[in-house]
Amino acid sequence: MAPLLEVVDVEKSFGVKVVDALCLQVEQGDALGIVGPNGAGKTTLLNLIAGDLSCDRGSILIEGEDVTRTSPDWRCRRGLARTAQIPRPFEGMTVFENVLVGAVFGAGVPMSEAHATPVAVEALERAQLLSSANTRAGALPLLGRKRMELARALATRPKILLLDEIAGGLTEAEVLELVETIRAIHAGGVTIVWIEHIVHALLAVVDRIMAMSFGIKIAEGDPAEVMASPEVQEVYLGVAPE
Amino acid sequence: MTGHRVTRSDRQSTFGLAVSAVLLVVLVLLPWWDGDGSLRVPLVPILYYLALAQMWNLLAGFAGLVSIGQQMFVGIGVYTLLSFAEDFGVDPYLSVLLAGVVAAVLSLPVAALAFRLRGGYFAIGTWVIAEVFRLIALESGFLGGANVRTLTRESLGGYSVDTRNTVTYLMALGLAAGATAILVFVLRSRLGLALRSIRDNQEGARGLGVSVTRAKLVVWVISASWTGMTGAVILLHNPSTRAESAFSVLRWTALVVFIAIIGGVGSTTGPIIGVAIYWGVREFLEDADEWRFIILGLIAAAMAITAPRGVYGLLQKRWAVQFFPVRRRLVGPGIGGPAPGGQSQPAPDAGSTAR
Ligand SMILES: Nc1ncnc2c1ncn2[C@@H]1O[C@H](COP(=O)(O)OP(=O)(O)OP(=O)(O)O)[C@@H](O)[C@H]1O
Ligand SMILES: [Mg+2]
Repeated sequence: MAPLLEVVDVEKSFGVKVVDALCLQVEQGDALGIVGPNGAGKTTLLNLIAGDLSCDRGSILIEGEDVTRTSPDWRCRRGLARTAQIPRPFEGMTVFENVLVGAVFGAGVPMSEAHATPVAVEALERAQLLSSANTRAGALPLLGRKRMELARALATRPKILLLDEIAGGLTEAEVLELVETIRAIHAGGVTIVWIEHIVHALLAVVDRIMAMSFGIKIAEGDPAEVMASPEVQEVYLGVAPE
Repeated sequence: MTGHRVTRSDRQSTFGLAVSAVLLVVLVLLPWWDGDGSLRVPLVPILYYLALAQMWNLLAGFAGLVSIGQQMFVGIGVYTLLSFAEDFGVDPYLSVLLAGVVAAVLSLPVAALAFRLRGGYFAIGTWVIAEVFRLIALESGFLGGANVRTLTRESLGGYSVDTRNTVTYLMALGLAAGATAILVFVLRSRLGLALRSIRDNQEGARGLGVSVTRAKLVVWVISASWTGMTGAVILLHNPSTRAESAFSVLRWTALVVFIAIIGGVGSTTGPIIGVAIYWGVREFLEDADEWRFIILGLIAAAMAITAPRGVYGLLQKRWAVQFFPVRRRLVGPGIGGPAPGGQSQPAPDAGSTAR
């Protein structure tokens, strides 16, 4: 069977190459972490996978199907969901309505609101946002916004969930709560690809890590081994191995 | 399953619905005590301007499609009615419906062109395309060229003046009330959910599976069709026309935009307030057409700068009102949040113009 997600030789340049000849395979049930210094091209890679940016070269496949030329909404309906590093809330709508959008339109065929409501409620519960369901999204604090990104993505009932620094900016206690939430989502059968700088949070969830620098994959494999490898120590932690 | 459900109305919006229902019944019954037509006839322009303003509001305020080419659909409606009723002998009132169909069909190739353009370019693009339609009408021998064309008594069949006045009035009323109802209905539907999400964050909406182009296209066709039918009713009210007036950007877009902006774009109630203000200005300056444009234009410009959400926005800020229930509230176990009415954390009537 084809992998759930396949990135083949993908390139993106903004004047300089930000993602360079990158290949990646994610199997159903994987939990992959992506690390790399600021500006390494992690978010750009995620945008290419989700369709928010178009590839200069290479292709993206979901379950063996080439989706390189398709729109982000189409990829979402094929089972790919993401959270954004900078949350993209619908500020004038309530938290519930925000999540309802994902539940209604993220399904393969748009769902009726009546059918989508329990899906949205479940997503709100999982993201621990149910108590603020009728709050205007624009009034949410940072943690709430991050949780809402997660709830909206979950409401699309994804096969694969792409998380971009969802733990960034949170307190230690909040990070631990979020880790539990993501573990539960993964345990529920959702494949995870998680970009994160907070390494201990990542290590608590993922079973594989890819490290990138200047758009190039520099290491991939067992989390502990990758984090301990000299290449990663050098570029990611800024430690030159003497 | 989870024991949660969604409610739409609160006390204010139920009140709003009740008031509009009573008003609508009064207006429907009006012909029966307005014997000589002295009320019906002058109300027709107020009503068709409300229909036009609501349709522009749907486009610009909810789908982000700032069209300044609405006159093309008015003109298409006018000339469809003329052709069908005058040249092919179709019943004029049936032709009003055909005007809606023709406008909807023609709106598709227009969208294929204009939807490639963004923001200000879209606005200019729709204007240019409307000009092309005007030139086609002006050059077409079949449509009558630059000549004045009139919907004649013959093609209006055996209908008496009184019947004609009443039917035109009721049609204009149907278009105005229908336009408002379409807005409320669209906003309450999944399409409305999509539009509001697009308005707040287009990329975010796409990421959640919302097909942005499709949502906008549906709105575009609805608006074109309704505007086309309104154009046909404008001809019924004022049976002589020329290409210059049927495709007038000033009458059928600029004035409409002024009305919508003054009342409040992006809300279902704003254009109703705007058209009431238009009525006032019209009564005040009965025969000064140009002055009407200038004064309304100045008010609209002042509003756009000082109160971008119009008079309705000011009212809403003051009293947190919501007349038509479009907002969804989740009720059930585990939900905290503001007291019913949502005044502590108002989620605006699908209405923030934040874009
Ligand atoms: N739209 C854009 N136009 C031009 N340059 C861009 C654009 N988006 C990203 N870049 C540049 O591409 C490089 C990679 O950015 P990217 O956001 O992918 O990095 P990142 O690995 O996610 O970093 P961080 O850890 O800080 O989030 C950066 O140098 C950035 O300035
Ligand atoms: Mg990033």
